[in-house]
Amino acid sequence: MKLNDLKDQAVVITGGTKGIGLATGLAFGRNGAHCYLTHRWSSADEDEVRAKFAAVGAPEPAIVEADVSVDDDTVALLERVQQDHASVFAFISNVCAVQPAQGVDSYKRRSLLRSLDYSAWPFVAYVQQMKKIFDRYPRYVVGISSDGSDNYFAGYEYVALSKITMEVLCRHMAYHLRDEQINLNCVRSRNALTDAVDEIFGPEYVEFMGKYAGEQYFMQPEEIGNAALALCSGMLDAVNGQVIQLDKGMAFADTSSRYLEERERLGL
Amino acid sequence: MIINDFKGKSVLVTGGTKGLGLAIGLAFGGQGAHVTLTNRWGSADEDDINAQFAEIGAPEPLIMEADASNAEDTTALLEAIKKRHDSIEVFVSNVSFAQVNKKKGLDGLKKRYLHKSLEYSAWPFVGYLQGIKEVFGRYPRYSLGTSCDGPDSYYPGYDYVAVSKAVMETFAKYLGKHLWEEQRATVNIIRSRPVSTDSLRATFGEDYEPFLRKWHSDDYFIELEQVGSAALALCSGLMDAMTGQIILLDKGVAFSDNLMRMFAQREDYGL
Repeated sequence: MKLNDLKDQAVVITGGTKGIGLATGLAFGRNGAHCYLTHRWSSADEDEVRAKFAAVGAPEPAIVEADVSVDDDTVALLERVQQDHASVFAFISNVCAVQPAQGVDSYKRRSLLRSLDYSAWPFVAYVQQMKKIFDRYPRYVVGISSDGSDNYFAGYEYVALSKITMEVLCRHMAYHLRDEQINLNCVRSRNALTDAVDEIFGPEYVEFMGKYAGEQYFMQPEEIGNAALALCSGMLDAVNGQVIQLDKGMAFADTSSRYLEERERLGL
Repeated sequence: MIINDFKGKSVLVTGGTKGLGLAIGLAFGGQGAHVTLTNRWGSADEDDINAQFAEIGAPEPLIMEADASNAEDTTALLEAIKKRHDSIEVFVSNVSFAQVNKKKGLDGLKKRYLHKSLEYSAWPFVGYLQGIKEVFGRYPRYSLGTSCDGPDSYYPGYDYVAVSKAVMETFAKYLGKHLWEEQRATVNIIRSRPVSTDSLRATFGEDYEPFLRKWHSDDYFIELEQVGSAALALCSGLMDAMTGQIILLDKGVAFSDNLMRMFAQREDYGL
């Protein structure tokens, strides 16, 4: 089994300076890839990000400000990639920027469309632009998703809608690009321990879930980054247009029946 | 890329002397694992299998006759592995032996056939894991079941196979929970769409493959090596947060395997 050689391959990760995006960048960087990490609003502590790459012996990443919903930013980013690379090896669509919803009365069409613009459409727009600029598709595309469309998470409507939109587009794109050398897949995780979890669900969330469900309720960002890497390793080239779920078995067993079974231990 | 080191680790593949099982055995053998392959009825051409392992520089596999539905055979097999290994790193439940529903309708279904199919194609996943726990004191670090998308998509005469696989998959979800909580071990299912093997021809007849290559494409079929490398990926260390899941190998084909696709491409096909 020959694994893909990632040395000096271009990997583009949107929202790559924090959380899951950063962990994914480190997974590829560790294996020699040249990562382009995007962020917005100068939100990245660039020195800290570079230090993390250096610490795992990864090539220095390019850290680029780019709004995923603005085509000009995408083009500028990819033209920069083109200066050093003839193609993009892997594109990781990770950015998710949505508003929390607060009940049916709070639903707004504008909020939905904005969520889709930032959190679903870039999966398509980046691939289209890559084809235009490099005259070829990236070899691998991985969308970072979550299982919010199948399970209730508080205030999570727009995330869930954006992620399921990305997943459906992924399946269709895999069909359309069936004769190209490209694999498009999504990784669904849940409750990755990142700053974003506190921002979305509040500071008490992690403690509460940890108390009743244990540490297996949470995914480490590194675990998600590693799975994205596996999808681009060459070992999973028969997997295309799929959604794979990383949840340590939790979604299946996160039921009242389970808490009933453990009620004494949990004091419920 | 750094993945788990399988050198000298024990890997057990049931129904491992042909088709998918053999491909998975070779994938791990190529990484230096000590692979044990089971078969039934002296159906293995051992010289040929040894040659395939030698060709890729893999350690010579242990080939053992063991009926997956027979608990004594299972124990004897595991005792033989125990002589060399303290634990089993990877267990792959691959044996499938189910009745084909030849009448293709309800009249052909018999409870007896269902029982037999479950006994050979679903229960061994559990039976082997219980045996491994008993003999080695712990479960394998990674357990995999090989399945197909029969539970979700129609294949002619495939009733019992689909049911057996669905049962095995549901067990995998429960085992995923239990084994994770007990020792952080993972249990997953590889669903493969059709692979061009003897067993495919035996199940669906000689016309099946040429028909699908004509009205779909070569992409309709999964390569044996792809199944092997996917099994390796699930045990590589890169996917350790995944358990109780089903991963589909289909090159994206299942999604569009319908009449609408033929309509969309009708000019290409002259339909």
